Amino acid sequence: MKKLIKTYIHLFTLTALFPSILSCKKFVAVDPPQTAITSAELFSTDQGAISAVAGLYSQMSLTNLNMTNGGATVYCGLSSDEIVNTTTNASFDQLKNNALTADNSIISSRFWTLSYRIIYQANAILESLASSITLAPPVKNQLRGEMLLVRALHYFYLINCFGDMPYITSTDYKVNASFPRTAVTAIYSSLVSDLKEAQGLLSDSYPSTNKGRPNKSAATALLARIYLYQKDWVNAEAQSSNIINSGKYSLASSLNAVFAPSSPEAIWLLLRDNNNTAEGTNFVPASSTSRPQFAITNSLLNSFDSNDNRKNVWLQKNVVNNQTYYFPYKYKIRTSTPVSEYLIIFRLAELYLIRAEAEANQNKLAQAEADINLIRKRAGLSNISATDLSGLLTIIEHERQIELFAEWGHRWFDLKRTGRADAILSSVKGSNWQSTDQLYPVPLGELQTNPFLIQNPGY
Amino acid sequence: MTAHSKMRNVQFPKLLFSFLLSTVLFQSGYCQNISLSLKQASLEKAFKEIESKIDQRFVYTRDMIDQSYPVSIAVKNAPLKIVLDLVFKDQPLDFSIDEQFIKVKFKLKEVSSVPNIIDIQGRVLDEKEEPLPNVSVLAKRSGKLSVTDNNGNYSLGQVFPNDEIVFSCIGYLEKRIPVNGKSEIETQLSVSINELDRALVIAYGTTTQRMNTGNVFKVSADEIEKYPVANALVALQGRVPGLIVTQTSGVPGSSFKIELRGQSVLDLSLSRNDPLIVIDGVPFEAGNIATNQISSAANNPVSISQGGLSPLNNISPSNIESIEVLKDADATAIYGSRGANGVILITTKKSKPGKTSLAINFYNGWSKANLKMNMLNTQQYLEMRREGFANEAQTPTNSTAPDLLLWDTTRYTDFKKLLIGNTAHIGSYQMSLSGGSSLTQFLINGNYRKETNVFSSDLTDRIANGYLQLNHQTENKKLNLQVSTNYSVDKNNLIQTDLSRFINLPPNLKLYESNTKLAWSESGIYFRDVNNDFTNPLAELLKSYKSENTNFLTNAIISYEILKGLTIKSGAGYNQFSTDEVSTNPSISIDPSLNTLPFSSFANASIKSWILEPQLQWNKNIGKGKFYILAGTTFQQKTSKSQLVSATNYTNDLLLSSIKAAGNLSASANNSQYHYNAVFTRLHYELKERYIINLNGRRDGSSRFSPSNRFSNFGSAALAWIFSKEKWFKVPFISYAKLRTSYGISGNDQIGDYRYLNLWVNTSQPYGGVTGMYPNTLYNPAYNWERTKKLEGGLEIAFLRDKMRLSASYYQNRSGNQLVNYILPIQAGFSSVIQNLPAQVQNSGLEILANSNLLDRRNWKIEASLNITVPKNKLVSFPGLSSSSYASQYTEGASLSSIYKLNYVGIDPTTGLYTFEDVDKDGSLTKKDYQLLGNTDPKFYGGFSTSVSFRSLSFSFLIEFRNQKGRSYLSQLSNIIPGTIYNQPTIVLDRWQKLGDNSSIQRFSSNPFGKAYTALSYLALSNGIYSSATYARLKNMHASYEFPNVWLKPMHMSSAKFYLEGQNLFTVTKYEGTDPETQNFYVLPPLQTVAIGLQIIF
Repeated sequence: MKKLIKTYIHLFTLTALFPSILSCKKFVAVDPPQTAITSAELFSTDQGAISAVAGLYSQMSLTNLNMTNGGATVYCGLSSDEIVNTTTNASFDQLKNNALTADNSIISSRFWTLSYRIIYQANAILESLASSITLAPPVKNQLRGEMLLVRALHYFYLINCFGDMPYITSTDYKVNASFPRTAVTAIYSSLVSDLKEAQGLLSDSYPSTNKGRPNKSAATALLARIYLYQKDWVNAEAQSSNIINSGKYSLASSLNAVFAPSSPEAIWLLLRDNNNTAEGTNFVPASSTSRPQFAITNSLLNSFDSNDNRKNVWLQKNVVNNQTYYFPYKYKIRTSTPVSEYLIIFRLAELYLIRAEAEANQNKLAQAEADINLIRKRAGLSNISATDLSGLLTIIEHERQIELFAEWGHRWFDLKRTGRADAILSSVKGSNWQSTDQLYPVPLGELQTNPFLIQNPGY
Repeated sequence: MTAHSKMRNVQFPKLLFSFLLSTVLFQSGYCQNISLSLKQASLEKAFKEIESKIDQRFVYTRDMIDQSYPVSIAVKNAPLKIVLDLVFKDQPLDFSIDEQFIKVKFKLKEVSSVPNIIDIQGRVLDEKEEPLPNVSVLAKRSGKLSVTDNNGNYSLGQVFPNDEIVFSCIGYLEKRIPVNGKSEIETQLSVSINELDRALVIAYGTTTQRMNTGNVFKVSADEIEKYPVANALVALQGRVPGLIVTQTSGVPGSSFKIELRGQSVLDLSLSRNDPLIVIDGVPFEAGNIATNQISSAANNPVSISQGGLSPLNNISPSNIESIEVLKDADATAIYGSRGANGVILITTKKSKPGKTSLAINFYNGWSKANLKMNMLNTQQYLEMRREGFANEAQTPTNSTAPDLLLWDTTRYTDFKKLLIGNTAHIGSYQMSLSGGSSLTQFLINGNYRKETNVFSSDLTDRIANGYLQLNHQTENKKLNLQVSTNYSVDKNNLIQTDLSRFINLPPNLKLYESNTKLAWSESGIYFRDVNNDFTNPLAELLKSYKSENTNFLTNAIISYEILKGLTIKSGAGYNQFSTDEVSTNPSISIDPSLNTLPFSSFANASIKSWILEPQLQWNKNIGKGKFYILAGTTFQQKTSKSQLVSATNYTNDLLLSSIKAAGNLSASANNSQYHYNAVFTRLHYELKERYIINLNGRRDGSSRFSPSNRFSNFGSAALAWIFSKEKWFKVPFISYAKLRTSYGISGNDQIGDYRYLNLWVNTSQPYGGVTGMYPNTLYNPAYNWERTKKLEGGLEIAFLRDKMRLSASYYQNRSGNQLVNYILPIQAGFSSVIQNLPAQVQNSGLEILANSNLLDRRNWKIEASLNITVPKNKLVSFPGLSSSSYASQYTEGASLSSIYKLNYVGIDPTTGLYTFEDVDKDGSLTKKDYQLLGNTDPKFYGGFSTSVSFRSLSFSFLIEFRNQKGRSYLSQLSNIIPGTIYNQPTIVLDRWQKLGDNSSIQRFSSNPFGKAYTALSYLALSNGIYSSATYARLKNMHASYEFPNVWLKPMHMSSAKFYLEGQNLFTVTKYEGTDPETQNFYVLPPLQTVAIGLQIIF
């Protein structure tokens, strides 16, 4: 009997141990999914690395009115004195009335979220490029230059919208999740050094068709703009001259050709393979009888000289219910296909305006006038001649307002960087305007998830 | 000890007899009279007793005694001959008396025909005279055991002719028949009315309620058949203690939320709370997760992430034999990593040998939506609008009030009636054929069900289902094979949006431009310009959504008895679930002013899974104990694929279903693999039918975790003690009492595949002709399984010969190592990353189940059942909660469904606005003013059901009840203030109008950004959007009439039944909104259905 009990105890033990004996490690290993690829595999070939970069641009242009895909144009346009929404919309109204709340969905999704997505991808590509040993050095350099430029472009817009920003340059979420805001000046100096490095890495020729991926001039254009914003007149003039004198670009002779895909003044274009521009889709109404979603403000309309050709070519009007709506008509195609327009990120006219302002501030008034007159001439306007610096700066401000209206939020940023926002916007917007409205609020969700973030004043 | 007591029993008659002896006169010869009293004494003993009273001596041999039966006799002063006749009456022996001896001999004819031991064979049938397999046949004295085969046949060798045969089978009453030398015994067993002995399916086996150590609840086919529905989950509503099944929408085919013993996971966006669904041993991989990728009316109300079409519609309720819900660790631990949220076992019908029979069942039903929440009519609506403007001292203008100034103010459409007020029709037709020989049997079941919906009778949900089941057994009965195959197609023609979404459009909205042309504007004002979500709702009926879900499920179980008690068995299964979807938007359905070309979406998805589960089972009786040991292993692979194509810029409406005709295409695809391997074992021991121990262990490996975290162990231990079997237990009325307890660990890996890898996927569009790639998530290779520790104690008592049964269970489940999408600030690149959190969620509760056969007569039968669950959900611990992203969502020590919000304190009689408690008195309402204001967990829930039958009439009903708080209609209308250009429920008429008014609704306001709007947006952040959602609902009612046999015979029918049934017939609730179950103003409430049907069996 005892023996029998022993036998059963053995049997029990054996069955109890059975699981640990039989587990099959090989069986539960799986292949990676067919519709995805691991980071290591992707960056093992030049082609893979290029598709990661192409993927970044595709993501940039995927969402209509993403910050770098019409978002800066429309939303900063609403915040400034350029455009208004024609129907009630809570989120748009908050922008138009400079009455943003920290839970505004546009600010959090189109600006903050989508930008940091792109920045993450740029950082991921930069890290993978650095650790790759199989990529061809020229490809590696070109791609690194592009990523430094793209990241700088996004930070440029973020700091001009929000002020100090968490300056994230890695993919380690454990560090990044609690990263505090970095001062604008510190970010600018990082951007300058990144762009200088990009200038060294990028080639003069474009790596792809249709100027869809940037060359060295694109990095130079952003660098010129950043110097301008920092009031570093010498470098702003130098960098803009760099492009103007390169001879690679020229002002389009006809206003109609400025925003065409073959525009001779385009420096860098954001392509969309299956869509025309977000600007066209959002500004151009469905028909000549329908109300446009956005109309330009009366103050902008009145700022055009009566004989300015840009008023006729870059503006269009619809009359609905006896009310006249003028809308931006730089990009002219509303429908998504066939694709015949691309969004211009940088164009030569801006570089002339940058140089004019840099020159004026260095008291090179005549040179500045010459640059301005080139732009005016194309618009069918007569030459200007200013007697003093402040008069010239006013002219430059006006010229920037008209030439660059409804384009990438130039007006909004100009008013702020020149300290003119309070004076001009309080007259246009009335009591809605407060000086603290110059910075957008840090999205509420971010404040809740990152205790190290501090809200901007006024929110 | 026992020997001693026996001695006393023996001695007592001896004393008695010596006493009798002294009083009895000595007489000789035949005529002496004696007294004798014996109970179950051996024949030899009887001889000795008699010898002591008479002169003669018995003459006999040992084998005569061996073959004799015990003697029971009580006679007084009877002649010896009579006494001997009585003693020998049932014996295989005879006797003769002379002066000296009583000679014993074998009865003559039996000596020649009956040997000392005989072989017996026979057949066991059920009440319907159909053969009954798997009946255990035991010759009690000879100790011989056999089991009937599929034809009900058995044979027993070498049995004493005077033996007694015991026939027993789970689910049937035990029967004892004396052999009396017969060599053929055929018998019939009747179904056990004792619920405690009904067969109960558990993981990898069966048991009974009586012998079960775990907590398993069974819903049988009888109950499921009473529902006129396509989804068997409905039959679980209100029936199963601890289980809440909530219908998400009344749209045909829509899904159900299943929650067994509360929410155990913190992050429902990542980790699923659904129980594992297993059909005949094969995990149903589509589970309870909607597989559709295109939004349809079954989604709530437009979000693809909520609701959807339930894959379980493809499992026809008519094929289901039973659904078992496994709850505690003992019942679920053997499913290891997938049992944390409980397991639902679906067992399909099996074929039985017997004459071929044909069963036909069909019903027709009608459904309507409950439209009890009325909306304002045009007159009331206009009054509200004008009052809104007056309150704000605003003058209506063409742009702020087109409905008042430009649109026809005499027009009135009752949108509720127009959009969701139609009657839906259901037709269901089912036929099954079954029969077979003793070795091979078959069952074929086919059914077709068609249901229209309340939006339009042109929209149909059609389900066709074919089921085949085969059993085979070899002649020597050692090899058994069971195969079943089910194929079903569910074609659901729906629309893209639940029209309930539009019931709050202004009641004077223009619908038609002309008889055939839809209106999109009136007086130059486009509806979409008034508000983004304004549209002509009739256009939704022109857009289509079609889905076709097909399910193929097949499984085979093969078993072979290697040695006596040792069986090798293997289950193998294959399941393929696929979904095909198309949605079209023709030009007539699109606002022409949008200039959008027609567009379509196409999607398909498939899940293919196979499983192989070899097992070894060993049964052995040792002394008074029974061993049952199971060991097995699971191999499973699943492949999921999906594609979604968005096709736009069509130029022709007629080609919208053709992907080729699109002007522009964009596609996305997914593909994943899941591998799963486990080994498991179960040790079960029963001693003296009263002490039961059950141990489960499983080691699991899942490909959902990184290689270093792939394997993990799970297990459980359970004890049960049927203390009513103890000798000392002598409580009258109590016929059965059991205490049981279990403890164990199970896991949860429902988090999606490949989440630990750093993966890049294709962008939706190329860039400059180059394919783009992007990282779609953050990755974390370190995460691990979620674990739930389950503790359970239960007491089960039955009274009055088991006719009344009461069981109470207390459970406490603690889920830890929580897998969450840990929310990150977007600056980290993504909004979340998968992480394990050391947080603990506890679900505890008390489940009480009482059922009773109140009356059980030949003509009358009354049964009643009541179940109540009192649950409690608690976030036990969450280290670092205050600094985590869950800080505003959860509170330590409180329920996961806590209402942590502003406290709504009523309407200010002076301003007419909603007001809230300003806790910190800082003059503004912020997060600091949030308070814990209860939760939305049910306080208790359950069901009451009763069935009454009288002769051929029977009637039953089930009422489900829940006591809970829920989101009221305001939850959906919290950004639409009464007074603006939307219709409102008539509830809003009780509004504040003038100083001092005491009302339930704040003042009307036409200003979409004024104070009233601000107050309403605070209401959305307060407990003011909750109301009591307690309800009691007559979920199901069923009445039937069995036609008498005299009518059926001429038509060769064996039975025919006419029935009337109903679903959701009546609800008692104080809920403020459309339905307390769905709790969503924009969602179609569960429909009320009435059906009549006929069931005929040939």
